[in-house]
Formats: sequence, C-alpha cells, structure tokens
Amino acid sequence: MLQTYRDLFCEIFEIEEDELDSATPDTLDTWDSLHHMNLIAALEDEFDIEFEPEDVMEIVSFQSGMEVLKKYGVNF
Amino acid sequence: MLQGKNAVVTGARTGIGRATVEKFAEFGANIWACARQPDAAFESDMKNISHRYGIWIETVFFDFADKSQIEAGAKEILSAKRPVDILVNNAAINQTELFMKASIDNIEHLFAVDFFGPLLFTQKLAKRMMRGKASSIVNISSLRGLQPAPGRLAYSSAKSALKTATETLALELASSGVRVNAVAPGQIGSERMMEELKERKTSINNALGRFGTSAEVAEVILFLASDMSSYMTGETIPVTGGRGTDFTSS
Ligand SMILES: NC(=O)c1ccc[n+]([C@@H]2O[C@H](COP(=O)([O-])OP(=O)(O)OC[C@H]3O[C@@H](n4cnc5c(N)ncnc54)[C@H](OP(=O)(O)O)[C@@H]3O)[C@@H](O)[C@H]2O)c1
Repeated sequence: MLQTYRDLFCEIFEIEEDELDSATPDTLDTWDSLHHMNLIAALEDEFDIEFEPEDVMEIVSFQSGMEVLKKYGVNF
Repeated sequence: MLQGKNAVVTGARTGIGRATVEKFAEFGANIWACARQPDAAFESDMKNISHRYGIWIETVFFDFADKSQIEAGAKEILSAKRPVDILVNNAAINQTELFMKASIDNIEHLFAVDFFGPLLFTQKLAKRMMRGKASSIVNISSLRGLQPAPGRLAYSSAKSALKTATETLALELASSGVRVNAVAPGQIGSERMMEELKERKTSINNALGRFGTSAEVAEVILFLASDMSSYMTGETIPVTGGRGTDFTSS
C-alpha cells in the first residue's frame, strides 16, 4: 500500500522519491489545483474510496494524505 | 488504430452507438457496450461483432435517467480493474415541443438523460481514464446544439450544454492526459431519425443533399478517439453534410 501511495505521488507531481517527505503545494511547482484533483482521482480509483469534500481539502502534504487515507480504512 | 485500447460506448444498441461499436471493433478496441435494458438480440449482436473482430465486448445495462443505475454501471466497468482509454457519451433522447406548450418535467427529463447523466458517468470513469497516458472522451452533441430550431429548446440547450462541458472538461483534464472532444451530427439516417423525420415531414437540408449514415459519424468518432487527433481537445466537429441556410425544418 505504502509503495503504491508513494508511486502515485511521484507520478502525479513528477517528483523523485526523496522529495516526498517535504512535498506540499508550497514546495512543489506542480502541486496546483488541477494536479491536486488528479491526485484525488487517482487515490479514489486506486483504493476504491470516495473522499468527502472536507477530506479533499485536508490533503496538503504527503503525510496528511496518509492520515486522511487511514480514515477510509487504507492501512500502511 | 485502437489495438489494445478499451472503450466504453453508451447507447450501443442502435444507430450511431451501434456503428461506433462496430468501427472500434474493426480497429482493434475492446468494448464495454452500454444499453438501457438487457435484450437477447443486442447480446447476440455484440457477440457476433466480438467474434468477427477477435476483441472482447462486455454489455453493461443502466438507465441514464437514474443516477444510482449510472453509478452502478460505472462501478461494474471499473471493477474489472482494466484501463479505460476511451469513452463515447452517445446515448440520448430527443424531444420536439414548442416552448409555450412545453412541460418543464419533460425538459428536466431530457436534461437528466442527455446532460446530467453523461456528466455523472464521465465523472466516475474519468478517475480511471486520468491514470492512462492518452485517453479520449468523445461526446455526441448535435448540430442543434450549435444552431437551435423552433420546438427544440430542450434538446438544443442540452446539446449546447454538452458542447460547453466538452470545452471545460478539456481544460480540466488536459494535465492528466485526457482529451475531450465532441461531434455534432446533422441529419443522420439512423432508424430513429428516419422515423422522426417522416413524422415531421422534414426534408433534406444540407449541401451534400442526402442523409448521413451512422457509420459516417462513427468514422469521425474513431478519429477523435484515436491518437490521430492527439493535438485536439475541446473541439466540436460538425458532421452535417454541409450546413445549409434553412435549418428551421430539421
Ligand atoms: N440521428 C441524428 O440525426 C442525430 C443528429 C444529431 C445528434 N444525434 C445524436 O447522436 C446520438 C445517437 O443518436 P442516434 O441517432 O443513433 O439515435 P438512437 O438510435 O435513438 O440512439 C440513442 C441510444 O441512446 C439510448 N438511450 C436513450 N435513452 C436512454 C436512457 N435513458 N438510458 C440509457 N440509454 C438510453 C437508446 O437506447 P434504447 O435503445 O434502449 O432506447 C439508443 O440506443 C444521440 O446523442 C443523438 O442526440 C443524432
């Protein structure tokens, strides 16, 4: 699960694994609103879940994404 | 041209949808063929196409007037865990009613089937499509969406809304490799259209002087679905035999 999550992040934001821990909309040029929605769509598809709108807004870093996913039963 | 691609076609039982299934199969695509209700003749027709061209076709049944059925249809497709490369939003109904006598319920129903239904279906499937490298959505609008006519308020408005949605989605989905285009057919001699035209005593009104065929529309859908149109998104291509000057009667 964790590797799938890491791969998705890297693929969508076009970054390397060593950039993941510091990935936020402020640190990545590629993290704009469209790419944010791409990430949400990919996570929903991969983990077969549907985020509540407020949770979509909570995903503001690599770490916070993991926290939100845990609420939906995704275990890392 | 579509070898190894997986396509979803709605309204696949008849007319332009049926022609699109056959065209896609001919060019190597696998297909989820969507129709409103299970029907033995449709199943056997799809089986024949899949044998003829050596591709798989899976039938999926749901009614575009019912949101929960649309969601279930999309779920069935997604549960296969296969890539979805192409989506053709073709299913629609037509309506002719002069505005002053029009029922708002009928207009709402048409919008549910011709506009909101395809939007919901697209929203569900786009999640999978966004994960591909080069996916394509083709919406079937209408010449009526570009050029309204009396009595066609609901249909023209819904098809025009679909054209605008095509342009907006093209902008929103481009960064994830999904192109979104539309086709606007004119007078196409599908069975349904021929009946309607007979009823309304409509004459041919285009430069080529004949009705188009469903297969001729399917050729343009194929072009937009394939990588041959890789530098096109947000466009609506009219397939009208050359728009004439007097379209009030069609
Ligand atoms: N023919 C033309 O001249 C023309 C011109 C401009 C645009 N168009 C557009 O081209 C597309 C195809 O039209 P066509 O001429 O091929 O007509 P058609 O043969 O009547 O095809 C429409 C298809 O949509 C399906 N459909 C209708 N309501 C549905 C619902 N509630 N749920 C699920 N499926 C539903 C129908 O399924 P059932 O078989 O179950 O009813 C049918 O297979 C439409 O979007 C139409 O607006 C056609």
